[in-house]
Amino acid sequence: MLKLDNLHVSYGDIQVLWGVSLEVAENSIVALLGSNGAGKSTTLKTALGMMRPSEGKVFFRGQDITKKSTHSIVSSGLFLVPEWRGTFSTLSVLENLELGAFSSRARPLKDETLERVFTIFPILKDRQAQRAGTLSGGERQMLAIGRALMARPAMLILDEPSLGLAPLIVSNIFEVIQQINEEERVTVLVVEQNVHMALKVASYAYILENGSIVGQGTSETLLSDQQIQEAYLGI
Amino acid sequence: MLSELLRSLIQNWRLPVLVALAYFLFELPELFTGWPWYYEEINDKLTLAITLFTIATLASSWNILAGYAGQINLGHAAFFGIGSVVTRELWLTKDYPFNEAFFYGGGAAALAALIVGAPALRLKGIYFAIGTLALAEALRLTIGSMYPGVSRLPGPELRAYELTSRYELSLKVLVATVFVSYFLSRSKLGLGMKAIREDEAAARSIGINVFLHTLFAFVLSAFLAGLAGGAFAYYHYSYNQIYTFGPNWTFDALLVTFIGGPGTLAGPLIGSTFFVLVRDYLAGTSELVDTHLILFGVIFILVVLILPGGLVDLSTRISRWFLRRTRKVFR
Repeated sequence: MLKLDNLHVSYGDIQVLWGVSLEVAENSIVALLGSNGAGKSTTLKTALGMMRPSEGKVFFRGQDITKKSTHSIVSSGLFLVPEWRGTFSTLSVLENLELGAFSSRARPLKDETLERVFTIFPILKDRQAQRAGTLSGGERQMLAIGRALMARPAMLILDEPSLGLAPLIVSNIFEVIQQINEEERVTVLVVEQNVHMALKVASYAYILENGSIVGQGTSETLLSDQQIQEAYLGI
Repeated sequence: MLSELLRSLIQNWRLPVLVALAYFLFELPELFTGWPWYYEEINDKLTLAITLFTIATLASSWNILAGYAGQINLGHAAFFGIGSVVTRELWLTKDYPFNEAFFYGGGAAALAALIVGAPALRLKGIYFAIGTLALAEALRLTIGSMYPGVSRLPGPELRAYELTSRYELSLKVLVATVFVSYFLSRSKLGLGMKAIREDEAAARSIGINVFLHTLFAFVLSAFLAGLAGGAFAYYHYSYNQIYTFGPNWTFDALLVTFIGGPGTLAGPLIGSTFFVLVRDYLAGTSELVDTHLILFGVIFILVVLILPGGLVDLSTRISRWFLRRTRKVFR
């Protein structure tokens, strides 16, 4: 569904990505793992058209989207939940959700999708009139995911969904990610530092280090790999 | 059924209030006819009202781009000026009917915003503010050398001059601006603008076309300021064409919007009423003339520091404080 082919990306003179390639198959959950500064966020920004690669291509559903603008990529069905959540704190929960259904593709289905989002996250229904800025960290992450679902995405990219959340809420969020993948047939790319959690839900994973992919494999092989265990799982 | 009607009325109370207020203001000059002091004071009052409507329109239209879409435009006076100079020239020199000249004035301002906005809105934040300020100043100087001297109403127009029709036109422009803001703030476009104001990167990531949204807000805001300029050209019988391009129009609009409450419907209206009334009062006292500049500078700083939501926020804060107090009593 999503294919990054040999991406080279620089910020000015400093090159950050050195030939990153990865592929996410339809209806799968794939994890992109790596520590701070490995280039995870840059990879995502490039996929969404927020940064331009100096070399390489991005394909979504077989189409070359490398040079497309972010809003047209989003309306074609690829949606990012940013690391900083990106919820609009002075707007109400309901307004935030409505903003998710901004594209003309998702707009007509808005009411129906809203019902489904409220079933997945009942807390958002209770809080719909509240300002998003008054929500807790976990609720804000749910709002960010709920808003993404409002767009009726074919594929979701989640940037560090566990960041700054309590362990109990983290496992809750990952359960929802699995549920979205199974019930709503949404393809997921999850970018994480929480390797344990990510490998639990993902079927396949890539490991990014210093701007290049240094390892990949199914979750089982990675979990049993000695090197991975030492470097990322602290076992 | 009845309760539903009631609920929608409570949720949308602003609209009937606005309609009633607009109707009342249109009838106001009529209402006072025949009062004993009518002929002595009415012209002063109408002039004050026209000044108020002009500043309120400039503030409300400025608020569309700044308050909703989050871009500070320091060249707003340029659109007010373009509206007035185009209207005045077409009407008085080229003998167009006034109504046509008036809409061409607004259209010219909108067109200028489209041409300037396409490159300028690629700049963000402070760079956009500086860029618009520089463009407006350049335009002011150009107009100053193109139209030197004073523009006066010719004899026939001067003999037929009366203030009530001027009052009505500037009120119409204000009402149009307020209603446009009202419907914009509840539309999909307005919601997109608010998202851009809150967090531009996040707005982009949920698929909002940031450039088109801000450009639309800019053009709309300029069009309304241009209409205000047209109304001004209709109202003033003699002024220097360069006058409407002065940066004071921009900064008055900015000042009253921040004092009243940016990003709200009532903020620019409350702010400009406060500003115009206080300024008028100070001008009436012999020793305090022009001290409003100092006073409003101080008020502006205080509001930004203590009450960032503006005077509008004061009422919500008071009611919240009041609720807390009453809750304590009942506990």
